[in-house]
Amino acid sequence: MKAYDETHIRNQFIVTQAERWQRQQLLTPAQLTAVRQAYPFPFRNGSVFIDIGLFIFTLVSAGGGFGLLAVMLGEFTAGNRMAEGTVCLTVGMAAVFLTVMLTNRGTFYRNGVDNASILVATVYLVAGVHLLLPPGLPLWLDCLINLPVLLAVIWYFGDLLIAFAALATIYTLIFSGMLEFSLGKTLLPFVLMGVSGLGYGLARQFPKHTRSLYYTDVLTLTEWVTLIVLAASVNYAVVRQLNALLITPRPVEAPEIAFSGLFWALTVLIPTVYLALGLRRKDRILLILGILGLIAAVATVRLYVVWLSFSLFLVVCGAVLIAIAVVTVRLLKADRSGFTDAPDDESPREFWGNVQTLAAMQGVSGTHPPDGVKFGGGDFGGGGAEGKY
Amino acid sequence: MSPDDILNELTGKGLIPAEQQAKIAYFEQHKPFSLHWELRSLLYAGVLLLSSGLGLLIYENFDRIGHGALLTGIALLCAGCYAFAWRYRPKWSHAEVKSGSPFGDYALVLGCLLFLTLEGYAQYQFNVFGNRYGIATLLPAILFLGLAYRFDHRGVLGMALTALISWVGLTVRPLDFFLKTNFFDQRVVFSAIALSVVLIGAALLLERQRIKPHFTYTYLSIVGNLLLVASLAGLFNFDELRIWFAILLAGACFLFDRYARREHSFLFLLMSAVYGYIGLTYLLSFLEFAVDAAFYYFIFSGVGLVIYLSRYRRYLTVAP
Repeated sequence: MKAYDETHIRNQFIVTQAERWQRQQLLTPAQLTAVRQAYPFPFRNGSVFIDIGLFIFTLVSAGGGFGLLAVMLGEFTAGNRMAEGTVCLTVGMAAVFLTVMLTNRGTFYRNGVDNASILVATVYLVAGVHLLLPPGLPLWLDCLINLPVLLAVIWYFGDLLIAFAALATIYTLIFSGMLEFSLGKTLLPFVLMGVSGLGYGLARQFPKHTRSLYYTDVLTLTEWVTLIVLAASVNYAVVRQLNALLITPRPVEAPEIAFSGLFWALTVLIPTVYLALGLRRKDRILLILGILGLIAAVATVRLYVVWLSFSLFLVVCGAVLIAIAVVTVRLLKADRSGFTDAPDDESPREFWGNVQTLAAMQGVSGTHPPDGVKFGGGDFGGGGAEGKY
Repeated sequence: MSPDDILNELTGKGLIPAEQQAKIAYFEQHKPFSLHWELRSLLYAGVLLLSSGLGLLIYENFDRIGHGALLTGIALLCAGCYAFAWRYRPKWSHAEVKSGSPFGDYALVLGCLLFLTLEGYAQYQFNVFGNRYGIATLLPAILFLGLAYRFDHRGVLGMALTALISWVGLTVRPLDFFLKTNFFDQRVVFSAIALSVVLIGAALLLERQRIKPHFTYTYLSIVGNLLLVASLAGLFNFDELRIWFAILLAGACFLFDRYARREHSFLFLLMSAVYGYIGLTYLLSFLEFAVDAAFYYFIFSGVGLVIYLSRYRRYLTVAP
């Protein structure tokens, strides 16, 4: 028994697919209506903005509740970790109970209110567990203790925010745990790579399980995060800079690392594999991360093997990206090898339109210092020339 | 659960006949994979990188041989971009229209960014605008506004509005959540409010005339935020005028709320709820509540807004 009705989630999934087919005119409107009647679900859905508002104001309310609790019980529990922990656990369980009451009404399904109350409940539960344990535990042990709580919440609610927290906890656990060993620092990139690969494999395998629809979002997030960490953990620049951060006293310039040849190879190889697999399997996540990874790989090369000034590097990269895009768009004028340049109805058209408008606006500012200072050469940048490019 | 599983189930239940199932299964197997937004994003990133790089390059090579050639090159590229966009210009229409080339919109953005680079350089090197910096920002704003309408380009409209906003003394970089301004200066606050009221009025008027009505969203989301931020800033910073700013904020929130409900454009509902709540909470803080009363306020006001916003969730599907 879980927080949301699994049959309703399944029904919603089927109806969404049927709606897609109807838009492609593969189903008649009458058939769609029949599907809707055969697969009912009670979820009510607003827009993403309403959900954001609901999330914010639920947190405001919960913040008020926390303050009130602290004022009312603070006198009695102050300094007594046992009492504070018990209060936190009780409130956390109460919050879980409230959330379940909310989800049992059926209309709430990841609408902001339930997301926020799951977050609040989890924070209370995690804090409660920690308060009941002695203070000053090492970081890796903290993470190890949090993990079962987070996993239980994910199992029960399938919540995306908590899934993100759990992934962050797992990586922090590995990171700080490995540093306890003398060999840990050297092995760290490989362990991170291995764990990420394993996590990705599990996330890919899980959908074959019949009950996986409940966790679709969590699994997609896991795919994104594990692939990003996998590529980043063996990127030459990341390894070299992290390595330098872990040396005490910290050196001014990050020193050369062991196995540098291997890391250089992996910096280029991993995104290339992503891209190739993404094209072969028609997997959007692999494809996007492959492209971004290759851009990062080129930037890594520029960082350590400087053969172009920063401005020229931007010009060359920009020109190459434009050229690749133009050639591909032209190639795909007619569908080719199963690829097309036509937008499909799953793509977030409105979202990308808005992002492009924001990016264009970003391009304007920085160009004209509004306070009337004479245009200075240094901070003048046509299209938002911050370091992040 | 794959599309095939769903198809089998729907056929099993008799909702889809067998031959239609075969047709849909064939479609699912052979439908092409769309790279549309990936390629557009690549193009956009390329445009931004190229224009930033060229912008920096001018100053790096200042006083060097080849500098003139570089400037000429950028000017030619800029002109080329405009020429390309013009060649594939959409037919003029009050309704939404598209460029004749998939690259027309991007050429226009690159042209506009390069224009800013050249204009900035002209001021830096030749001081063409002297100390009249207003003209330096107003000029691109007017140019971009014209281009946005002629080419039906929301990105260029956003650029025009950003230039206009910087004309009254604010710098906005939305991707960094960056807003640089001096809201302690009454003149800046009043200019920002006046500008946003004029622009919102113009946008609504144009919408009523059905001239590019799809631009209204861009106007309201950019300038509306400016109006609400400026009203809040006035509320916070100018004690003697507080009541007027409170009335202005309340009025703006009310109008945004009504507009959002009429157009089902819930970004504006969120904006009016959040800005209005901040303003109200700030005003109430002058009443000097007891501490626990303040916490009760947060609990009940939060719940109240949740109930209020919840009303705008709708049924996705027919009731069972």
